[in-house]
Amino acid sequence: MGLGLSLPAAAALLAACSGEDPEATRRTLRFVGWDFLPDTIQTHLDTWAAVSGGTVELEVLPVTGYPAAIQTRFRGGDRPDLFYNFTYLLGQFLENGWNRTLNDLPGVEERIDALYPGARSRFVTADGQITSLPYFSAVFMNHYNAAMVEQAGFSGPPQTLQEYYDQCAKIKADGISDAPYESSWLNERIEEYLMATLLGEGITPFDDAAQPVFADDPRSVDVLEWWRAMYQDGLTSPTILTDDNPELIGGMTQGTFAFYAGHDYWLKIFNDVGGPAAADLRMAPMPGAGQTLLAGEVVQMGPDLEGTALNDAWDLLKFYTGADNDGNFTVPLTWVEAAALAVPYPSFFEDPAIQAAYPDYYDLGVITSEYDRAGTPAARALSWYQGFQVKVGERVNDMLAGDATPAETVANMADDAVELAAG
Amino acid sequence: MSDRQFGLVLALPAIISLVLVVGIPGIQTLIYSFQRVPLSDDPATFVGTDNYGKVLGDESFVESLVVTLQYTAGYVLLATVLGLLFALLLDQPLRGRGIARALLIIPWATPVIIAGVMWKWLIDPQVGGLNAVLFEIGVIEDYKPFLADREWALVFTILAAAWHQASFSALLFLASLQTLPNEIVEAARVDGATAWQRFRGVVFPWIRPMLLVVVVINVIYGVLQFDTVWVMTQGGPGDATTLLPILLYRQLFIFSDIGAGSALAVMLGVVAVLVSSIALILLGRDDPLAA
Repeated sequence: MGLGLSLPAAAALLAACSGEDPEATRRTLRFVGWDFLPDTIQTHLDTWAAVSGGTVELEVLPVTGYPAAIQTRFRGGDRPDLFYNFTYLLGQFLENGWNRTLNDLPGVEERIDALYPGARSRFVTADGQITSLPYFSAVFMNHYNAAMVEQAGFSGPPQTLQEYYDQCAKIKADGISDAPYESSWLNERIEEYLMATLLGEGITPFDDAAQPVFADDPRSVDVLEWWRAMYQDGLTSPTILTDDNPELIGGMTQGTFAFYAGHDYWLKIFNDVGGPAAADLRMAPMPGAGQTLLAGEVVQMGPDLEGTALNDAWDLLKFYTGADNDGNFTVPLTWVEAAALAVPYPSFFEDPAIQAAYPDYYDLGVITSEYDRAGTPAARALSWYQGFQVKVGERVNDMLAGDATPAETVANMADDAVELAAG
Repeated sequence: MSDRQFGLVLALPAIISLVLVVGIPGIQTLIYSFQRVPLSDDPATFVGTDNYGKVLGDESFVESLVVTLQYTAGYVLLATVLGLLFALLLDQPLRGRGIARALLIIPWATPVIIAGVMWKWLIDPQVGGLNAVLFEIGVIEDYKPFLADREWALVFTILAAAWHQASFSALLFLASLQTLPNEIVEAARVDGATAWQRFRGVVFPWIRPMLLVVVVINVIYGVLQFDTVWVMTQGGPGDATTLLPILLYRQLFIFSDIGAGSALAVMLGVVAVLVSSIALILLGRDDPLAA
C-alpha cells in the first residue's frame, strides 16, 4: 500500500517546479482525539511530524461525552483538521459540511479497495462519497467460558440461537452459573445487538435505500422471541439492561457469566484484568450462518484544508489509519499491542508484525474468517439512525417488560425507522 | 462612593459572570426554542411554537415529566430530611463531633460520577453489600437485582443522588443551628419542654428560613439531575429513570434537534421554577419569624 514518494514531498516537488512556495499554505494541523492512550497519540503525531516536516497539535477530549463535545465545537465554528469520530455521526457530519470527503485525494481508492468488502459501507456512502478511514475496527464475537461449557456437557460453544438458549438453560439448571448470558443491553447499545443477531441469522436489516426490510422477514420475530425468552427465562444477567463495562468485566473474569457477545477486543481486556475465570475464556464466531457485525470508529478530515496543509493532513491520515508510506502498520500496531484493536484490511492481518503483536490466546484464523463474513448496514451511518438507536432501546425494553410482543416490536421498530428517515 | 454604589461594584464581577455564562446562553436558548436551527452554517428560521408543540406532542415527554416529578419529590424529601437529621445529630455535644463533622463533607465532596458507580456496585445482586445485609437481616429472601426493576431503579437512583446531596443540606442546616442561641433552648428545657417540643417550638422556627433555601436548592438539583442517573442506568431499564435532562441530552446530541432541545430546556427551566415556587409558597406560609 506504500506510495513511494510521500505526498508532502510530492507537493513540495510540484511546487518547486511551478515556482510556488509550499510553505505558504503549510500550517500547523489540529488533531482532536479522545482520551484512549493520549501519550501514544502524541508519539504518533510526533513521529509523523519528524518524517514529514509538518507540524500538528493534539487536543484530547474525554471519550465520555465526546459526541456532544465534537458536535458542539463544529456547531460553534471550531473545526479541527483531523478528528476521531463515531461512525453513527458520519451522516450528520457529512450533511452539515463538517468533514471533507476524501474522493479527490491521491491513492484513496486503493485504500478503500484494500478494505474487507464488508467494511466498505462504513467509509463510503451509498452515493460514493468517501467520508473517513478507520481508527479501529472490531467484529462481534461470542466470548465464552470453556470450563463452564464443558462442565455442562457440551463439546463446544453454541452454533445457533437455539443452541445458545439450550446451553444457557443447562448451565443454569446444573447450577454452574445463575446468570449464564451477559451483554451490554443498555438503552442505546441494544441496537448493536439487534443488528448483530439479525445479521447472524442471515436477515437483511435495511436495503440499499436504507428501508427497514427486516420487518419483511419472519425470522426477525424469531430473533426477538429468542431475546425475550433469554431474558424472561432468567438466563441473562438479571441487571443486563443497566450493566455497563465494569459489571461485564467483573462477571466474566470472576466466573459469574458463561457467555458474552461483543467486540473481539474484549478477550484481551478480560485477560489483562485477570481473575479466576480469565484463563478459561475463549472466543468463537457468533451463532448463525449469516454475517457478523463489523464495528469500530473512524478518523475524519475537517473542511478547512487546502494546499500543503491538505496534503499534510492526507499524509497524516494515511499514516494514522493504515499502512504508512513504507507499507508498515506503524500506528495500528500500537493499538493491537495495547488493546487488540484492528483495522479492517486483510493486509493488516497478513502483516507478520501484527500477527506477532496479537496475544497467543487470539485465534487469528477465526478472527479473519469473521472479517471475511462481516458486514454492517449502510443505514447505520445515516444522520437519522441515532434516533433509531434510541427507539430500538425503548422498543426492546418494552418487549422485555412484557408491554409488547416480539411481532409488535418488529413492526414498531420498522415504523420508527421509516418515520425517522422521513425526518 | 455611596454604600449602594460600593455594593454594586463588589457585586459587579459576579453579575458579569452570570450574564456571560447564564444570561446570554439562556436568552440564546430561548431564541433557539422558536427556531429551526440547522447544524450547518445555514441561518436559523423562525418556526413559532412548533418546537414546543413537537416536544409536548411526544409521549416520551409526558412520561419523562412524570418520572422527573416523582424523582424530584423523593430526592428533595430525602436530601432535606436526611440533611436535617445529620445536622441535628452533629449539633449535639457528642464525643468525636469534630471528626464526624469533617466526615460529613465526604459524600458531598465525592464526584457525582463516583457516587453513582459506588451505589451501582453497592446494590449489585452479585457482589453488592446491600443485598447481603438485607438478606442476613431477613428483609429479602433472595438477592434482588434492584436496577433491573423499574420501580426499584428509580428508588435507588434517588437514594444515590440524595445521599450525595444530604451532606450539603446538613452543612447548611448546621450553619443555621450554630446561630441558635443556646439560652433559648436551655430556657425551653428548664420550662420542661421535651426534645420534640424543643425542636418544634424553638429549633424548627429558627432554621425555617434555611429550610426554604435548602428545599429550593434541592428542588433545582432534583429537577436537573443527570449524572448520577446516567451512570447508574442511562435512563433505563426502559424509560423508568429517563428524567427530563436525559431526554434533553438525547434531543440535542442524539436527535441533533437544537430547536426542540432548546424548547425542552426552556420547559425544564419552567418546571424547576414552578416546583421551587410551590415549595416556597408552601414552606413560607405562616412563618412565625416573618411576622
